[in-house]
Amino acid sequence: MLADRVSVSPSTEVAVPRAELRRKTTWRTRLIAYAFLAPTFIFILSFSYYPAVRALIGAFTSWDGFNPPTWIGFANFTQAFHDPVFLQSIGHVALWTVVGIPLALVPPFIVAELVFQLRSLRAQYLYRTLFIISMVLPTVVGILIWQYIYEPTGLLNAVLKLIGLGFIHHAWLANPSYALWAVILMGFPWVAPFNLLIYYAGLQAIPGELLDAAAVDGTSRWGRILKIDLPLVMSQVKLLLVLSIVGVSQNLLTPMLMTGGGPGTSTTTPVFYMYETAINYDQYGYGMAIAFMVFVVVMVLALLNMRYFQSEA
Amino acid sequence: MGAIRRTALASTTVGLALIMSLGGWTAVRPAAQHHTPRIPKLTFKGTITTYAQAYTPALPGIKLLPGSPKLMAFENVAKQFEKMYPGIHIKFVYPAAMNSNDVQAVEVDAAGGKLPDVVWGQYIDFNSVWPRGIVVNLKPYLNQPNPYVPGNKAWKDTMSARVLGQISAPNGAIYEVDGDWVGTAFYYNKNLFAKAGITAPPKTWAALLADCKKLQAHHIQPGADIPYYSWWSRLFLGNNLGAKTIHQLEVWSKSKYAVTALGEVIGYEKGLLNPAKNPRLTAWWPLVKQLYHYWDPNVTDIPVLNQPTGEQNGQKLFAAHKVAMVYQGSWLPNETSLAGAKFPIGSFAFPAGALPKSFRYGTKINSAADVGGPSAAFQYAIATPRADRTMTPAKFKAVLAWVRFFTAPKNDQTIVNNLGEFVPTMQGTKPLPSERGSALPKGAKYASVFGFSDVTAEAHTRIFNLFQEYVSGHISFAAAKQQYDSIVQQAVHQYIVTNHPHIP
Repeated sequence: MLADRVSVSPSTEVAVPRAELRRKTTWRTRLIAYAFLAPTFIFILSFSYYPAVRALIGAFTSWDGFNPPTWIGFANFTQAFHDPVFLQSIGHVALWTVVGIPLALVPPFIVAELVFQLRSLRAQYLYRTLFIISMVLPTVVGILIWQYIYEPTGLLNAVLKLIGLGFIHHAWLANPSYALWAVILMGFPWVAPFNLLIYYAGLQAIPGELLDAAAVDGTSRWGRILKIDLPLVMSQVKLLLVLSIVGVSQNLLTPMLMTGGGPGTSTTTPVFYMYETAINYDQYGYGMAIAFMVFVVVMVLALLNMRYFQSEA
Repeated sequence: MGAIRRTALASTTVGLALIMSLGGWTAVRPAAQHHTPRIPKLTFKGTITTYAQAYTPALPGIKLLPGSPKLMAFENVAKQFEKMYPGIHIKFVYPAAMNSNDVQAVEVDAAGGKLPDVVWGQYIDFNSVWPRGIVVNLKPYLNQPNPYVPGNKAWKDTMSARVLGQISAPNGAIYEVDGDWVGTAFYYNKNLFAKAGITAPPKTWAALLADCKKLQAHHIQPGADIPYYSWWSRLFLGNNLGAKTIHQLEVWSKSKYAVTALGEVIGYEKGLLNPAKNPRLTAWWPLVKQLYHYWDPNVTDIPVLNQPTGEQNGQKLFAAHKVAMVYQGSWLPNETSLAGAKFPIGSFAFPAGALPKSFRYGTKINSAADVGGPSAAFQYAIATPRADRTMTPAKFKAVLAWVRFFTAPKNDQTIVNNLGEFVPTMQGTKPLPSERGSALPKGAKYASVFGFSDVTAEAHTRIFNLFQEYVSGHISFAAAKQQYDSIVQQAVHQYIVTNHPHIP
């Protein structure tokens, strides 16, 4: 409770009107709150918003990363729409999105369902742990392992030979006809631990009464999955869909480490091209223009998805 | 930027006595006939950092790459300089990121003003890849005497004219001093050749392919290597373009000894070097593909510019006795020996003047020495004050003096021969007996032509990847030619937009 009196000095006490006291206290409370929030805001502004704004401004300049940038208007954007590599990279990311997103969404859901439907809680815990434990592996290590799997003398070709399919031996990452598919299909059996956890948490949140009622009504397993589980984890699907779109669009590490965008430019994606033009070719302005375009496209896709699924869910 | 004080050309017995008394320069003798410049006095006291790349001495605190030889020659030269200038300390640094020639690492350090005072880099990077303003244009200083070389009137006179011509930037600047030469050749395992019944190395392209066939028939892998475009392009274009074209390109490059990116861009604009109009630009690609038909496909397919860590490469397989030959630089015998290999190694040159008769673009020009040249390891520049915040006018004078000191022919010879992989190129220097085969080619008349991979960094990457795709058999020749045209066109456009060259 607020005090009605404020001590001014040890000897004197002054009556302060309640409204004024509340105003003063509110102001002080806010100040303290803002002071505590300030470091966070400063860091977010410095490391998240300032670079984005800087990139937007830089997109209109020609800058080699060392000498002062020069203003060139929309030239970088015009260049992008006439750049065959950039246009090709959009096709690559589109294919990656169409193929990669179902792979990011479906297998983890299937595994989450299988684990969730196990009767023994101990078995659930065991399988969950087995699938999740791969999260401790750094992404870079995972990519490098797959690079070795795809090598001409790697595991994939060895397995193919072992099962009598040696005739389809390929240098998977060196052949432009297969490289993009190899990169997209990396990660078999595509059970992303994070996605699995999200689905599993969603399934756990389904009220037990609902599942019991379905059982009493004689609903089959498939029926339960389609009519109860799937509709009730739609918010998780929506979240994972948005995250996957962002993830695929901004996936720099995979093409960078696996193929360097090659062979030729057959695995170059817009975000890798952004990195390549800026960092390797010293065209920072052009790189920032590509980054800005990627940002706009991802934002629009994410907003569309959220709106669509919001109404559906 | 502080310029070094021009030193008087008068005979200076005082200066000589000083040097002699310091005992740091035993080669210097009082020369009555010569006007020896005075040793400059330096006001700077402090540390000069030097990134010496392959010549970095094995000092405590420096973490060299595994397998690096333990060198000390550069450190000994530094000690002589320090003795001459008490209060100046030469500190060798070995930034791992810069050693990988990582453009980004160099730029980040430069943007933060953290570059070492003396920077290593390939001359092509200084000229075409790194942003302008990172290192000092040394050309004005090259016309001044090197006070550490008796009788010298202009520093450039201590250097090879061919090397100077080759390392000149398209804008006429010279950003580095270059004191060694790398040669390339086919190196072969004599034991494996003998096992296949090959008694002498091949001298024609046809004989080379026939030997590959023989090796294969004896279950010996003939060769293994990644097809580096800019190596093969120099070997073939230096021969195929013909004397008249190369001479014209040299004229456009404003150089007697080099075809620069500028020359290539003008050549493109004039149609002489336009791949759509001149089939010689790509006609040789199928010949290389013929050779790589015999090479280990598992190595040919390794991404040229994105090699997996620890991946097998031609050099490793050669050292392991698993392939009969590789096309490599003059570092190979030394590095193979360091890897523990015991077999005898022979070498033979690219048979430039003996290409197949069916190949209509072959000429008699010997382009066998066109790969390598001054892009070895003794390539040093001085960082600008913007790229190196410790650089003051007084320090610059000291750094320039240090660079002049260690590039003096005697020191160049000592440092380069200590490594034993390259040939010193400063006037009057002598290579080690083992490296004489890689020496500066006296008979070479014409400059090498890169075929546009030196025009922009992007063209470099793209053409390398494209060439590998073609040689590995993943795309047709027609598709490769079409893509090459497109990449070259884009690179020329980019070069013109960035450099605004005068096209005659």
